[in-house]
Amino acid sequence: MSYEIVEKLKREIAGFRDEPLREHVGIVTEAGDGIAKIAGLSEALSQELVTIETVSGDVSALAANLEEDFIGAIILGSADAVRVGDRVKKTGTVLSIPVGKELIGRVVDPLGEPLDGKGVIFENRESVKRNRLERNAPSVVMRESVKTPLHTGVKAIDAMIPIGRGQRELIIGDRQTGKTAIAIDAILNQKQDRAASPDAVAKGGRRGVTCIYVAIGQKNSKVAKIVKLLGDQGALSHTVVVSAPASSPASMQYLAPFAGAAIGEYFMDAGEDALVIYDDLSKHADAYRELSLLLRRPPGREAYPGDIFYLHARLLERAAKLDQERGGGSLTALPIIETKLNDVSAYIPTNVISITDGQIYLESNLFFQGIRPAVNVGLSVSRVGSAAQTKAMKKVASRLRLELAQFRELAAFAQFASDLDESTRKRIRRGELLTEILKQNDIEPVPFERQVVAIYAAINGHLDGIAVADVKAFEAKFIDYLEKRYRETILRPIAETGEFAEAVEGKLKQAIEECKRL
Amino acid sequence: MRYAPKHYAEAFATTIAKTPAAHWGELIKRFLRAVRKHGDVSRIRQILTAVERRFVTERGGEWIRLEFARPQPERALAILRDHFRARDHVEVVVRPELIAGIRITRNGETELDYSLARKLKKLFRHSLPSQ
Repeated sequence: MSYEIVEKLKREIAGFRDEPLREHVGIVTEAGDGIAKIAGLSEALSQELVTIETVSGDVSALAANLEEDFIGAIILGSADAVRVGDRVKKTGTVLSIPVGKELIGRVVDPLGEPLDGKGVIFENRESVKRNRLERNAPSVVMRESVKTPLHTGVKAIDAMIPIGRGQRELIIGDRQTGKTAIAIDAILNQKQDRAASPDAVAKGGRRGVTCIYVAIGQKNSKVAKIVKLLGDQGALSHTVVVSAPASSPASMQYLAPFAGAAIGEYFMDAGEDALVIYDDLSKHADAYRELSLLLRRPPGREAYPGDIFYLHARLLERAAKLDQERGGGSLTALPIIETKLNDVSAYIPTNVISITDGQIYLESNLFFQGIRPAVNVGLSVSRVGSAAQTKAMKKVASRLRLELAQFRELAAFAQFASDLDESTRKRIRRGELLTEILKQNDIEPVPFERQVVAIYAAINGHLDGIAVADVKAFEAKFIDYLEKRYRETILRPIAETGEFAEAVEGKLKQAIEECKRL
Repeated sequence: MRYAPKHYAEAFATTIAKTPAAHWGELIKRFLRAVRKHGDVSRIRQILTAVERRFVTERGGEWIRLEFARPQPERALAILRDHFRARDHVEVVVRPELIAGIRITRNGETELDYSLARKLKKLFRHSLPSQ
């Protein structure tokens, strides 16, 4: 055996040809905090990958600042190994990540290296497709309007702030208000919200959505919990997790969302639908600020660099719905922003609000009142999603936002009034019922057809006789009843056609009355 | 504000060009005093290199660095030096990590690496493609 190995090596050495080429080199003149200052390499390109030859092996770095006499590079590997005097070589390539279906179900770092201990991802890494981390967003002519819904499984969102495939919808709120929970629900819901077969897709049914969850600056324990949850719920079969936890260098946290976008684009380019969640862009902005300050870029407002808007704009612009000529794929983005003390007028929140096509605003007050998900319907908006909402949901929930707005106004007024007329009392009661019906636990996304029937029952006064405390119990009983008795005649037609026909509505009314009598 | 070595080099080169040779000694003293005054004594090596580079480029020469794994006989070095022009600055450095062979760097930017270390590295990459 050893003889064979030696012979094989001999053959390889004998066949080895090496002609030294003229190479461009530089020298590390300063190193520290994950940043290297390199003299020479005057022909390096912006965002080009360079290799630092350290005593313990090659370390990659990203050329970030091109100055007159030196370049500032972000070290991507072990920064401790880099010493002053180390040689640096150009690679002529920009940063890219290996992409493919093999990534599904895996947890990777922003450079595509596995973090889940499940072994190598790609058998032959040389032949695998690589997507650049930085890529131009699809142009105007390459896009088509958002028209297919992306159901999150959250009633309040799917009914009032609908999201379409290819949209960018911001999830914003203070810490501990359920931002990640909504994103996770959206991932979990994609398993149940897909057409049963390719034939059904051909007939206009919804395709499955591949999800990419990008954890930026999160605690490792939180990422592990999410991965376990996704695994337990069977959602890892359509999910890729990109993790740059708080313990990782700022460079990795800066690259993570771009890696997520690059993976999402692979599916979009293949004519499929993908959903990418950036959790969260506040930490991403912090990481970029750290790098920028270390690179001695001039600080601007809140010490963020001047191009922080461009950073997030170019990232989120990559979410798109491509036209049929380009396969009709889509990339939907759900960026998350954490606010401090509900201040949505801070620098990063206002930036991302203006970039995205709407926002889901979560409020800690609502959360502590027990309204979960704590969506503030008044401040939340979806600018393009209504065009993608299914007819059934549009028909049922069109009045919902108005009813809730009126309820909130009346409820505030009623606090000061002792005597209320009958119609006001009715409206307040209806509002309470609607608020109750929109409540749901996390990790329990509701299929779209069940949302339609529940909201229909509440908004049309069919639940008026039920005490608010009993609404959830009635809803559970009602859904169970429909599943057992009316699966084929009510739920399936709504799920498959996305429409709410009059015949179905008649049957639904009948079912509600039957259920109430039980 | 800290001055970059190239600023010192620029200032020194332009001043010395205007000064008669008889006063160069005084000029150098003043230059070193200025470096000390600005707290840049710790960077004196970089500053002197920058000054030297400045003179080499000014006379149209190039900064050549020859790196060997072990000290070379003076005769061999003389043969190598003959390949460069008189106005070029040729420095010789011993770097044992090259194992054998020579590495030539021009102006700190372009290199030709004939070292055994590079060959071995390339051979390992060739035989064991990274995963």
